[in-house]
Amino acid sequence: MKGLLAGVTVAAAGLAGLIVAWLPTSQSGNAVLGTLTVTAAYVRPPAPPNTTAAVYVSVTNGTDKTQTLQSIRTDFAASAVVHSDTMTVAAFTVAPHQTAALTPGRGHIMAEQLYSTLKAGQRVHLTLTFVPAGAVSVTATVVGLTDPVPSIPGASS
Amino acid sequence: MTRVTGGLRVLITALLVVVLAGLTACSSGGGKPRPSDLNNQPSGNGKYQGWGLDPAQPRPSFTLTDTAGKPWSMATDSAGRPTFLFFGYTRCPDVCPTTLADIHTALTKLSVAEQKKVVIVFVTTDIKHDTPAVIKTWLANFSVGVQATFVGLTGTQAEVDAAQTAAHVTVASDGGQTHSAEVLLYGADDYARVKYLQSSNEAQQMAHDIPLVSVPA
Repeated sequence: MKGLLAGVTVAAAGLAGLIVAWLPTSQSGNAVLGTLTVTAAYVRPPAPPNTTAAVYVSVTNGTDKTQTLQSIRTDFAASAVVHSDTMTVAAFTVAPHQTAALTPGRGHIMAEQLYSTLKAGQRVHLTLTFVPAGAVSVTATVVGLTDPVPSIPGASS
Repeated sequence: MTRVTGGLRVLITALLVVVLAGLTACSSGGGKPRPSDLNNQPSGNGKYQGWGLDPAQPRPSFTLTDTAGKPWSMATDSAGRPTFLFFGYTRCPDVCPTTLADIHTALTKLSVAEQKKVVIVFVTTDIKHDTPAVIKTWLANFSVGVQATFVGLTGTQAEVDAAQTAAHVTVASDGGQTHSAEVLLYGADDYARVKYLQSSNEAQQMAHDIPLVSVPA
């Protein structure tokens, strides 16, 4: 698959990071595929003595293809994988023209082996690689240990 | 595997998306809860913003070990006081700290006098890892700045399983890592008429309902 996504630059403020990646006409010259948007990213830091953080995001898939989160890299943890609500490693897919979210009890990105203590208000960065779209850079804000759940677009009821 | 190529167009947009007060109706979790009026559905327990319980559930009878290593009775040691009951484990990065954060947030909406009436009971589902000392340290993250009583409990596997059964929640599995996300709220009359499931307005629901259960129904 060629030429779906060039790259993404991030600018975000406050609680949520928002990235819109415009997926242009593919090199095969067929069609504009749409957009892939990641919003409302936040991190719940570990409550000591726990050492594992959870990351939540909402992803709107404006493309005509199902997008599957294949890998995650972060600048604050050595390991990051998607877990389902049952704490097992799971796939995170977003159907075409749908929004799906990782929310407490319905999946999260588990971040382990943190490089340093996360502080409330701190901004961290993740690279989420979707197939077939490509890599999306996300800025997420760390909430406080006692902060309630922020609303996330696309959170299922 | 997608080959990401250069020279293609990228649209960059930055927005602040802070929606702290949105309403999210819950539909997952054990049992068949009856949604309250906040979720825009009729209910016989519409005065609560959490999920109404019909019939009401009596305060369960179980005795476990608290963080001081002493026996603690759910039936008698919190009798007559509004009491949250939640089963989880401290290594959980997801529902457990979020739920305790929501309870903390709800308590901050109350007066100190109202806070002092409330008991929060956390029962570990991971008895192998969650020693009384671990539970005590973990709970302290959420009790800071509020005047409610936080109680952390553990026991044998049989005792913890029996406590979940007595509270009518699904017994945890996978070493305690798969557990009910329900939070039960018992009132001053020692009955639970409302419970909560994880949502973005859980703290708001709890804050609304605590005063309602602080006096006998």
